[in-house]
Amino acid sequence: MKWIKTHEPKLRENYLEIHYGDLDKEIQDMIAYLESKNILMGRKETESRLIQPEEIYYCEIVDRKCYAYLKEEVWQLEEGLAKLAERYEMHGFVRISKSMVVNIFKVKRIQADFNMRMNLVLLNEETVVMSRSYRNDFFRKLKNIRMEET
Amino acid sequence: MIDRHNFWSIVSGVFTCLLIGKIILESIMGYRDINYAENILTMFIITAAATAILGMHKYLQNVPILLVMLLQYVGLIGSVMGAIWFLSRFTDVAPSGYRDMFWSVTVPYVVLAGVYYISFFREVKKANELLLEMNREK
Repeated sequence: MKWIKTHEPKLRENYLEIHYGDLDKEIQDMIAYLESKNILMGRKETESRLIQPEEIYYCEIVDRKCYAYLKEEVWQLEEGLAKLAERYEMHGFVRISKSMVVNIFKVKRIQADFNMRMNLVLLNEETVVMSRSYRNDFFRKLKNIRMEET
Repeated sequence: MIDRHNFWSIVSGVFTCLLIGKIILESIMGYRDINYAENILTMFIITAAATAILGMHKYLQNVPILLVMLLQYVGLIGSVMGAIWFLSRFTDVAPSGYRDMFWSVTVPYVVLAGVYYISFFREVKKANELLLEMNREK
């Protein structure tokens, strides 16, 4: 396989592009390696970028498509919510509703009203609603993270 | 979380606890229940109905919790009164039967709902403390 390394001082963000005719073992290994680095591929209409799980505040399914919400950007992901919650659990991803996964490290505080509805206020001051049936999982995850950290 | 897989095991567990409680209470108070079989059957029906009604919780995720509690209470008290009415077709019911059952269901329900409500806000407070510690360390 031929590979080209180009230094572009004015480039705003590094990127890696793979061109292949057949998806052979070498290419598959390379893709597997990149995926093992736990990097996600975000897409918009004409552009795409690699996203570190730590950058993601929450992911949501809208019209059967999964979107990752970063501090100020939104990118479409190929992965489903169940896979995200399972694969990036170590990065703090936890399910908070049927259509949402939140990064627990991006949660600033919890607001509960008299009706026991729980809103999660994120570090960028955005608010997401947590479903009652996922409450125990969230609390369990939070306690586990704190126990591991201390 | 109550679902169809653990429904009968929950009903059995709760029913056993209630039965043991009834036996202990009766032996302490020296009371002899003359309608033992009917009361045990009623207890079992109420336990199954209460578990089924509480298990509906997950289907009412989008309904405000206070309304859910109220609906569950209405469903539960309705089932209990219905069970007494059904039993009254076959056996005698004490004149104060309906009133006694109303209090027997309402008092534990209100106490448990209160405990659930308070524990929820304590849990949120604790979680907020953990989040604060976590964010402070960043």
